[in-house]
Amino acid sequence: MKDEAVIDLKNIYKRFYVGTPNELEILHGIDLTVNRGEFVSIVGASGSGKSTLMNIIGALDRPSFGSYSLSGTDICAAADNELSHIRNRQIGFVFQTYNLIPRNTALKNVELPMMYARLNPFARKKKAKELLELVGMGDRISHTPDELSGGQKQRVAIARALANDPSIILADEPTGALDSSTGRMIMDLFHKLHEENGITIVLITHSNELAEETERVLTLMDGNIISERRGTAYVPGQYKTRLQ
Amino acid sequence: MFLDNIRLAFSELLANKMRSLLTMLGIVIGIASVIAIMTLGEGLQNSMIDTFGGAQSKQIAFEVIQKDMENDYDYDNYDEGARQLNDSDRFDRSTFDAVQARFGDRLEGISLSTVLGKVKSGDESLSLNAVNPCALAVQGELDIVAGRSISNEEYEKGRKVILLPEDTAEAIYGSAKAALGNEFEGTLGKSVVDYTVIGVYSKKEKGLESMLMGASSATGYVPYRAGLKTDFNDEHYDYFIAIAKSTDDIPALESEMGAFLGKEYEDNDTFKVFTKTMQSELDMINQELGVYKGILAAIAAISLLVGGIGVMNIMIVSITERTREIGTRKALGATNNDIRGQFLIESIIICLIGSAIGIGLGLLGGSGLASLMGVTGKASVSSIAVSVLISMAFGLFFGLYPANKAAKMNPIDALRYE
Repeated sequence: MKDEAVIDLKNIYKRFYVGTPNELEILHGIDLTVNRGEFVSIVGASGSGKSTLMNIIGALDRPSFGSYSLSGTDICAAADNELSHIRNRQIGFVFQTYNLIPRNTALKNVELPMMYARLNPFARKKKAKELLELVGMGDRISHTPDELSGGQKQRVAIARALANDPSIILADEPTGALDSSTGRMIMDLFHKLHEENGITIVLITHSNELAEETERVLTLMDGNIISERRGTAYVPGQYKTRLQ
Repeated sequence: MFLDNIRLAFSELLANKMRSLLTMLGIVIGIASVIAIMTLGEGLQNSMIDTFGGAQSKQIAFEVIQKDMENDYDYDNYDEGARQLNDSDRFDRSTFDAVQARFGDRLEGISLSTVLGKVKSGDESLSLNAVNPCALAVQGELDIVAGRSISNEEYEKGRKVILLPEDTAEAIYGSAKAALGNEFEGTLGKSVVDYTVIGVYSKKEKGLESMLMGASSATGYVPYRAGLKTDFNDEHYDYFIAIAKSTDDIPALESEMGAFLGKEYEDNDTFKVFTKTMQSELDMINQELGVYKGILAAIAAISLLVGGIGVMNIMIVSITERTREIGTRKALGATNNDIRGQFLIESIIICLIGSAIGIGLGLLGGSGLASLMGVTGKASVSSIAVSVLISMAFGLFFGLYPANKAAKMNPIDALRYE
């Protein structure tokens, strides 16, 4: 179970403006494997190709060259509708800016991916409530994003990311817009989901401090992965120890 | 999903109440004017049918006109140099007898009436009309409020009796009842006339009657023969009206009677018989009303079109504003069709709400205008159904471009949109 690859990127290239004088190559042959149940972080300065890599991992974009299989599905060959389907079922996005739908309650926001999965209204409401309980937002289900603090919004976003039991949670700078203590709480929530629920998490960040807490740290620079090592601050079961 | 989209659309509309309202305004005004015009037009047409229903619609008129004229108003072909109509060219008693003998079983009768002129009685003036029973029937609905109508015997014998209008009776005798049995005396031109009041009527002015025919002045009805200066047998007519028993028989009667009477005129050097029916006149007026209705509705449709473009405009603005939301939805797994559906439903709902308000206002406005014109506005279910369908089609048509724009957004760019 532990060594089953969820994400398998081989020799990934991404070029923009192909065929024009401005042609730009952002990723130069990335190889990356993430196994089920892993908590991996990708760090890199801005301009290192982090966002481009995240878009490819998140099935928002296709590589120019190379192969990518997500839970056994070939992403490169998928049509737009299939990509939508893959994003819906396999990937849970957590964004720096939360990206909750304004004017919709926390519950409705969490229901959203299940709505696109055509789950019936009763099942999705039940599941959404459970997920909001899981992230500690059980008492805020009918609040709209305007009525929630940054940390609370990010918890709702994490609950939403978990909605269709995705293969991975893809978190792009999830603490970037939060103060350090709230950011800490969000990181703890990721540790909890990872340790207690066995969720696979890919964290994209420019903060080395946070990255060191994860099992594996990949450093991206100028479109290449320049190092791959175990997080120096990673302690198995750290969520439970922190609680004490 | 569908229900979710409807719920979503409503929450979006409620979130921007003012904008939603202004967007709908174009549709509201467009639909309201279409419905108002339809309601008014339908009301006018209905009231026409109502006004000229019954005996009046069964009239077939026969008139002697010059041979080159195409109809009785065809003054272009009227030859001023032609010889004048004389009694031998006219219809007379023998014509009526022949018509009665041949077509009597299919006719209610032949309407004979002559306006004798204005009678002055004290301060009151009254238009005096000599009628036979058939002619009285085509005067419209006369309500006898006191006494009785003219009896058959009185018609036959040409008794000097009169049916007075209520207003005149009240003015002269104080009340309708008091008028009965009194002598009504007055001057008609230079002669003096004298009739016994046997009944008082009030006339219910129906719908468009006064508008189309002019307000009818107070009229007293006397038996046809009582009003004539000469013997009935010596009277000659260049015009008479026959009343058909059944509406369906009118076209056949018109052509058969036209041919029958026309035979007499085969050898006439100058004149012929022209026939026309009330029904064809009505059809013509109806047709004209229909044309006016159509033109007005077309103008209203243009305002509806402008409203539709307004909806499209606002949808484009709204989609640009919600670019990030669209990006998020796509990241969460919404397909292009999901996004397209969401915005299409939103624009259809804007148009439907607009049309619902428009229908309400249109019905109010239409029946208000109609009652100003003295008719009852009638909303036709079909025009309402058509408006709802049209507004849905507008929502679809004008929502399609913005919805497609949203559906085709690149999720990466949309997510990053500030």
